[in-house]
Amino acid sequence: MTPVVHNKQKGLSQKILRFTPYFLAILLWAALTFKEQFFLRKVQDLSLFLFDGNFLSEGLKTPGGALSLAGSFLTQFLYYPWIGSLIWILLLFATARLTLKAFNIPDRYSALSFIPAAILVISNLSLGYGLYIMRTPDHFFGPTLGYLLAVTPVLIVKKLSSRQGLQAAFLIIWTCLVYPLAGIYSIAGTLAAGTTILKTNRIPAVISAAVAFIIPLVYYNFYTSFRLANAWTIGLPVVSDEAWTAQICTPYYILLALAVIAPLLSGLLNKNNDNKPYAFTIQAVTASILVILVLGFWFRDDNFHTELAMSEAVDNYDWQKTVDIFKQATQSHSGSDAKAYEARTRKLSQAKSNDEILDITDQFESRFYEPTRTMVLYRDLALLKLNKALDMAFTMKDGGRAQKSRTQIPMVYQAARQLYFQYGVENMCYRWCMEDIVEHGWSYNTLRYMAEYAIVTKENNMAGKYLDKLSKTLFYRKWAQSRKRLIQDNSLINTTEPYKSIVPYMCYDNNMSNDMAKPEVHLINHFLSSQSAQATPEFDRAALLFAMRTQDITSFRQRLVFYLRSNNPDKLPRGVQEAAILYGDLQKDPIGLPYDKTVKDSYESFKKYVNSHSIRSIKESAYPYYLQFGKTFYYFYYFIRNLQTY
Amino acid sequence: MRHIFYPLAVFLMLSACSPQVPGTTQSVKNTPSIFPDYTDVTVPSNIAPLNFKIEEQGQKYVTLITSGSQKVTISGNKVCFPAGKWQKLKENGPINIQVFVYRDNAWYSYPQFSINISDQIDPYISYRIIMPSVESYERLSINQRDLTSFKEKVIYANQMVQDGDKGQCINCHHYRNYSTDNMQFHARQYLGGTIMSIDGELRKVNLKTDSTISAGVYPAWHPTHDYIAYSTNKTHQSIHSSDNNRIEVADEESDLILYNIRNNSVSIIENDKNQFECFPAWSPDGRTLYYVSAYYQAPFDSKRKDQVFRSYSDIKYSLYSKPFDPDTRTWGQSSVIYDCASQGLSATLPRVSPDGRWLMFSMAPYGVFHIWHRESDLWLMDLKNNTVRNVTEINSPEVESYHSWSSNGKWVIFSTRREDGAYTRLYIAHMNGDGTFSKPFALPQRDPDFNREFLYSYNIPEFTVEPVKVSAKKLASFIKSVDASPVSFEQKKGE
Repeated sequence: MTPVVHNKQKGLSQKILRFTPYFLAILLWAALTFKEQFFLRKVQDLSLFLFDGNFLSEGLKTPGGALSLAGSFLTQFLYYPWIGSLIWILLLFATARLTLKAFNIPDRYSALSFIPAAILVISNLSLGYGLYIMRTPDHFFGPTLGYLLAVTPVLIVKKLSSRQGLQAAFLIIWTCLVYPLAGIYSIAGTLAAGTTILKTNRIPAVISAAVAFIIPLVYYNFYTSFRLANAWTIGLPVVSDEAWTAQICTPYYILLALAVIAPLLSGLLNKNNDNKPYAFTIQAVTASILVILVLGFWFRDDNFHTELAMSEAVDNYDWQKTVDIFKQATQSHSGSDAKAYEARTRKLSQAKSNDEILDITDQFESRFYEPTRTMVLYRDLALLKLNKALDMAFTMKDGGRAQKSRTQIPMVYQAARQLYFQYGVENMCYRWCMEDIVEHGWSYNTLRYMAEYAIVTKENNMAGKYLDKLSKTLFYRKWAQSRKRLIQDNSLINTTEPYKSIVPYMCYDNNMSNDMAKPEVHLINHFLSSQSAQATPEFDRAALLFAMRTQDITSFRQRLVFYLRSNNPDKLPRGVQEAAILYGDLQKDPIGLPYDKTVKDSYESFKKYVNSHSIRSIKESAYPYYLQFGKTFYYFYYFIRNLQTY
Repeated sequence: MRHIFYPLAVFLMLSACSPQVPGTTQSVKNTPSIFPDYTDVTVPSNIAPLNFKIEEQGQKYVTLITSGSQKVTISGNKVCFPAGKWQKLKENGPINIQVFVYRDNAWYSYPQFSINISDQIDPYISYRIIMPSVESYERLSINQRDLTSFKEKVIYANQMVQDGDKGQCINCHHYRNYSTDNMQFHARQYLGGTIMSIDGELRKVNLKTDSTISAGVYPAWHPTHDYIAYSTNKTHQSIHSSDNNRIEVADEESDLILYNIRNNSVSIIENDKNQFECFPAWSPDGRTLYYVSAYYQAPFDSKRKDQVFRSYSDIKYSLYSKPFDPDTRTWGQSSVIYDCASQGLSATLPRVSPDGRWLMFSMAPYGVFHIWHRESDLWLMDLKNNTVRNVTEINSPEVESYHSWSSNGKWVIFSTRREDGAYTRLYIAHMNGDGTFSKPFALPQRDPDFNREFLYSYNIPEFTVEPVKVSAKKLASFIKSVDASPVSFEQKKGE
């Protein structure tokens, strides 16, 4: 009886193992579609594929160009994350299938064939903020296609197993033909094929190593687009910041190295064809390790994902959604903040010295939720567009949490063009589109913003140029067509969103400046320095908000005068009242405004609370004060200090 | 039977391929809208085909091209001339072109226009390919275009040496007397230096000395002796917050120096502290140096740069000349030859025609870097009688800037943003004997849409009579392997 039970169990285990990849693929697809949709759309938005001869011929000017074009072509389908991720997952299955075949992995170890797929998943989903500094528009799909290409010659040389001459000829021809199209992946394929036949056919194997070295050298003479040292790595994803290179490129090197050495290892798996007692365990352990690694490397920073969602809402001029995303993100952390506070209080109660107290508060600092500056800037922009900023900006969480990445990505590559465009600082929008294009290449996003810039500044020919480009895309064609009517009739600009809400900000006098790659600082200076007689109510509202952000009383008083003059509000926004009552009190020079009773009461209770609660340190007090007064300007004034601006 | 069948088949096939000029047509009064606008232009006899696109709405297009006994018909809205046929058309004098467009069930015929054939042009131009950005320069190259065909090659590209964050800017390529045996360009930052080919021998020098404000910037190779005049500049950029000129490039300081190729030394030509001297250019005999200069007075302190940008629109450059004896290397007194500043204008980029009679320069209301000034036009001074005029026949409402004379003085190539206000394109105009110009034409491209679609600018177009002989690989290898050698400074001003 025992063997039967054993066989049944074995059969069940095999079934589980067989269906595990499909189950994981469905989970991956669901996660990509529903949890990473904004990330995938941003990947797509920062890449470019045009159905245009000049674009294609330009793309072929570098080894690996054809593969890059193919990768960019597929990347556009991430516009619909469910389609793009489905295509990618199918390609990942193809990598597993090809790996299994090429490297003779027995079925009982089939989980090993998913190692390349896992590496590709890790490389794409660990990217995080690196997304903004990729120079290669195909980075999402390119390496997957590249791996498939690299494994192909292994299968072919195996078919030619008995004919050394043919194998050698094939490897030479393969490298010669495929290197210009696929760069490093052709060399990896040649080397992988070489190691496959190393034991049986030494001569073609040696030839494979020789051509992998020589062919890039030869081709280098026909190109002027890369350094000699890069001749063997060209085609891999490239970043503009060297500090990120190791993090981003290491998975690809591992992947290709694996392809090259896999034929040597496959011998070990095939040594004995008898049933291995531990095969199931090895399969299960391999699958578990791969899943753990994927989950471990998956970049799951809430702020990053909130920024992506807000960025998309800003791109779509959906201001209410921008605010809602921010609110949702901050509210979802109230529970974890309370827990962090509880844990900190426990620890602090055991502290024996002031130094220990400071250490504990420092340790807990990062456990309290804080938005990034990009989130705050997007939110303020949205609130201004909704004309709710002076009422609501200081009722929401504030802060300047650093990006969760080793090296901070400058805001100029992330949000500058959106902010400058929406605030009517159009030449800066142009500047950072162009700088980004030079650094990272053209993208749907930069093409759109260059077109938007040109439309709002009425540079019709320039706008036409970019719109024509976008007309040659799959998913932005309609958008481009809809914009073309604006360059045919500029008067529509004043009545069409988003321009009609931007034009009121373009009322300032020209001056010369350089933002030194810090958009927030520049926006503050821009709004506070302008004293144009033509200032619109919208401009003065934004200027007052930026004055409040500086926590500078003189600036506030100055911009308040302008604000009252141009806006002449029936009822003063609550934030303005709170700032005015606080500043008046601090300077012992009350600002004569019609304050609401609730504001007066709130300020009095704030003062009372301050007097009755000793402050050991700002960091320690921030949370309990936040619970009491987190939705007031006073809290912002006292507790959101010395922020790093970008 | 076979003897008849094959020729007949070939004839029928050719007839089927060659479009027929429509019989009955309705006349249209206006010349057809084509891109680039090649209607009634004058072109060199050795220029590449002037392919163009018909921009009239229609379902079918036929273009009839005639020249002497030559006749060609081309269908489609893109009119691309086969190279052989283009050659024959040019040989037979003016090329007459008539466009027929089919729309709304009728053929429309447009008035014929001509392409006039004139003097030969230098067969090569070189230019830098750059994106119109402010500070970034990830992808720059100096390219050479064969004007008799569509062939283009890279002379040098910064991507051949750049290494990750170690970027390299390249600029100011320049030749001596239209010959490529003597050429130079600058590489800045990584592996930087001024790269020179002197009679074919490569040299990399650092022209910055303790006594000069910067390395050499804008060059002018002496036509007969082994000198190169340079400006030295402390240049900055700033952004207009709303002005449609977008960017302002201005000097905080600038002087002129002379590099002596033989003894590898520099000396001062002009370094008046209250003058911004810039853009030197030699007369063809090498006995006069032309340049531009603006009066500017402000303390040399940390606020000077900001001060310059506060008063950027008040900085106006006039045209100067300075006599020079190349044999003794002695300078005469500088003099203003055209006081632009007094007229509220500012001149830059003086370039003298090879016969020494004409001085072409760019003029705008202020500043020295006119590629960012939409108002910039090309102006011409007749050095025979010092009369000056705006060359309105080649200018446009958009910027016209860097220009260069062909070696026979019959052609001028210049950069302009007339097509879209953003990307600099190259236009060529024929100089008539009386100092007037014919209608300029865009540098021909194989694909007529190319200029619209290409997302780079061309700048610093320079003619040469021969191709650059040193290969891009050799230049890259040289730049990588050789450190810039220092130059000595010769104290005596003007010697």
